[in-house]
Amino acid sequence: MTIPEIPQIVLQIANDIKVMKIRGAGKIARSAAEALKQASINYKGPHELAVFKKYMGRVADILISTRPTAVSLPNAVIYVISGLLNAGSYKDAHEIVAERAERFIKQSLEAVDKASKIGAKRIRENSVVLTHCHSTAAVKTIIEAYKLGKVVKAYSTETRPFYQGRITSTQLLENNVPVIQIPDSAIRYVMHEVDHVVIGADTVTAIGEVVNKIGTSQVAAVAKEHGVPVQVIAESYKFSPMTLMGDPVVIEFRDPREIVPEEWLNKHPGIEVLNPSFDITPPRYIDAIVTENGVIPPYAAILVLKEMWGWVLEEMRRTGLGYLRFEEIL
Amino acid sequence: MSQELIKHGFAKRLSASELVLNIMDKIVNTSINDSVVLSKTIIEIYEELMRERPFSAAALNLLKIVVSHVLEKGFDEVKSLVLNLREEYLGALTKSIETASKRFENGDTLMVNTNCMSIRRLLGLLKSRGLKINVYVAESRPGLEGLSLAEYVESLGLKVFLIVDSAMRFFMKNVDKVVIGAEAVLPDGSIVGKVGTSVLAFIAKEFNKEVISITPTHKFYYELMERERPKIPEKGWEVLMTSDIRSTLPPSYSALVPVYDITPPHYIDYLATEHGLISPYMVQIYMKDQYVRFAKTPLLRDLVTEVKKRYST
Repeated sequence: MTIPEIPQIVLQIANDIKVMKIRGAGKIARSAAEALKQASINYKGPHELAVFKKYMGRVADILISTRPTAVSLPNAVIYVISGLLNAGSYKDAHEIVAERAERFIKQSLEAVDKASKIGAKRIRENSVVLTHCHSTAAVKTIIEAYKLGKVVKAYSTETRPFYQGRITSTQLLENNVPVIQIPDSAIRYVMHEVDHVVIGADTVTAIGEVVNKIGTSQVAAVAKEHGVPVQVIAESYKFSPMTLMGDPVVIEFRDPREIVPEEWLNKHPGIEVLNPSFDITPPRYIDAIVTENGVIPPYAAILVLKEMWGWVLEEMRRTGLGYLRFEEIL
Repeated sequence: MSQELIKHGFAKRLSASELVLNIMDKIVNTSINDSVVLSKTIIEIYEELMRERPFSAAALNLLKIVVSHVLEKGFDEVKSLVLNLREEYLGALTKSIETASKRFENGDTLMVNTNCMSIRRLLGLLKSRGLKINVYVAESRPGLEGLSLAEYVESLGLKVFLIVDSAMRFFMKNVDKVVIGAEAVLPDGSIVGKVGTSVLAFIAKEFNKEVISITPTHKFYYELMERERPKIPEKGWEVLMTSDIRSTLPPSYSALVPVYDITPPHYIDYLATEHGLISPYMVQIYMKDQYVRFAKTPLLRDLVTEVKKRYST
């Protein structure tokens, strides 16, 4: 069977995710859903269910391959594509993709709002909060808590190599939250003042580990050292079904030029610059994970997975694979 | 250095030992016979230290000896005194490094976060003994001095990995020993070091790795046995970025950049001094030993005031 050509707009979104033009777990997930919708709208092949399914399967696999660690990406794809499993006709399938993609985008946006409202309630009056990197969910939580009159000051780490903390600071300032930027090295210097650490997540594993921007585990460890609670705001599509089957979360090592200029690298061939983009915070350093459905201890992550991705877990158990190959399943 | 690095706030900074040598040289190179000029130099050095490096214990301790000498005996023999102190310090540093070096084995992997002289010389010594050592260097913001250290380690021909400060915990599992730099050792055995040092030591302890520091006893901050601890200097956004980048951020954007942080003694296994290895909890032994020389009242600030009174025109 020849699979029809993948539209340019879909490849463009895939590439934007790959080169981090689109970043942040939530945005990546929504963009992937949008890409699937666009793939369906711009489908130029024969109006046959089997061909369309294979075509969508390939689009799904391409999207998933762009960022190996962003679990929100496969979860968004699984959510949209799972609708095709029971599609009766080409017309049905065509509509299902657009409908589920839109629903995913809407629910995902609502999830951030819901989770951050719940998270904000957990912050006590007159709190100094600290956040690492830039997480839409964490920023919203801090803004919500500020509106409730609970936050007196926020610390935001610069977050090398990309300085996402500058985005965090800017967004907090736009919402009048008094925020101070610190270099990543200064977390222990300010931690004695901090009442609550609020962070986002890229991925949550089946045993409650939180995969997030490099440095998160250091922040959480130092917070624990100081008896400061660490709250992770994570929409439920960030929980990774793959990790249940033991598959480790692959940590992406990115281009060293993100850390030092190319000129410097060329001058120093004997220096190996290592640029892991994420690290893993063990559940013992996390007090609570807040999803759009409520608060759970990190150890209860499996419950979220069962509720959200029951059929995916079954499919993985059946195939023994830690991932889904859509071109084959569909 | 390239414009690109300056954008990230790259800046050269003297290590605690370099600062000592720099100050000693400054005094020696001043017109030794002119009491007004020399006293002015000493006062300037003191004031700058208290403003920029109030924890540079070695420099302050040695300056105190010079100032006491001036008040007791005038400016005669200041030059030879300073040259002797310079030698004494370098000798103590060399002995401390020698002592520390015996604790390393072939194949050890280290993690460090400062471009300090003692660490550079330790690595040079280990290399000269033919040990194969791997070094993880954190870039060390603000200032990115880790880059200069990485360049030095590369020049030694040792294996070197450069990482961002946030990645210390990620790589700690691969590390055997952590060597931290010290600006000062406080009377309770804590170490004042470049900001981020206490994170490095804490994470090392979390992973049960050995944490050591090379601290000739000149780095012990004797005067703090009887006076208040200075405030840690704090800088702003200007040490993190250029004004071009600052202008892309909101006007109300502000940054807090402490120059140092404090590592408590329970995260430090031992200090390598010229008298041997000691537990940080035992710092008091040497503090008492050297009390008469370095700490005995009057305090350095009072001595400097006296110099001002006597010699300023």
